[in-house]
Amino acid sequence: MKYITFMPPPSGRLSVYKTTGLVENEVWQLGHDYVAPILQKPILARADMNSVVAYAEGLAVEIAPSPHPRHANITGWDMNSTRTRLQATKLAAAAKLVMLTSPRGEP
Amino acid sequence: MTAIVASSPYFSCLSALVPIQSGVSDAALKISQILTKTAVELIRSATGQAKIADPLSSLDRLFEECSAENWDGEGAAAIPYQAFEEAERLVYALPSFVPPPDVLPEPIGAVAFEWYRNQRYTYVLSVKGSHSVEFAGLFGPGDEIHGKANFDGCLPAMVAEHLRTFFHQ
Repeated sequence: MKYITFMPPPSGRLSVYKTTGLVENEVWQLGHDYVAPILQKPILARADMNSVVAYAEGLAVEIAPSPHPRHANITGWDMNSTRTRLQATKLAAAAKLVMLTSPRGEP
Repeated sequence: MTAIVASSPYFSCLSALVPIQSGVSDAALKISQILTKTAVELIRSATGQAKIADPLSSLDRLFEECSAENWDGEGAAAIPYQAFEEAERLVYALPSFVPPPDVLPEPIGAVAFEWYRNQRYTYVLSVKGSHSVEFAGLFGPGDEIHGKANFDGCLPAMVAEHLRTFFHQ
C-alpha cells in the first residue's frame, strides 16, 4: 500500500467512508457511486483500515455526511509538520489493499 | 597545478550532469567534460536507464498531469515547476547503491520518491522546490523517523545515512 493513499490534501481533511456492517458489494458501490465521479476514474482497488489506527496516530475520524451518511474525514493532521508523511506511512502500513475482482465488485 | 578527482562513497558519476562546476581552469573544464561524457554513457546503459532515465521519465509524466490545481479531483495543490527541478537534482544526487524509487505526486504540491520493502520498511523523500528535502521512514517495528534537511543539489548526510541503513550498505 502506497503511503500517498493516506496523504491528506491541503485542506487537512482526508476523505474516507465508514464501511462497518457493509457487505463487499455495498462497499464497492459506495466507491462507484460517490468516489469515482470525483476522481473521474474507475475504482480498481480500495484500502481498508481500522479507525483505531488513525486515533493511535493522534488523528480523528469526523463524520461528514455529504455526499453520503457514511462519509467521514480523517482530520487532526499538522499540515506544517514532516510528521504528516510519517503518519500517512503508518496508516498505509496498517491498511489492507483490496483489489476489485470484477467490474461491479461481484466476487 | 594538479587536478585531483577524489572518490566518494556517495559519488555516482551522475552528479556531473548537474550544472555545477567548481573549478575554472582548463583541467577542471576537462574533468567536467569527461564526467559529463561518462554520465551520458551511463544513462544510456541498462543500469542508467533504470536508475536515471526511468525516474526522469516519471517526472515528465507527473509534470504533465499534476502541475495544475486540483489534479486529483480532491483539492490537491499544483506541483510547482521548481519541485520538479529539485526532484531531478535529487535523482542525480542519489547514491549508486540505491535502486530507482517510485516517483509519486503529493497532494500538498510536492514530488516524492518512495522505496518500499514491505509494510514495515518504507522510506520517503519529498521535495517541493524550497531548497530542502523532507524525509519519513519506517525501519522496522518501533523504528521510525521524519524530518527535513537543506538540499542544494548534494544529498544531505543524514539522508545518505538513512539510505545506507535502509539498504543495509
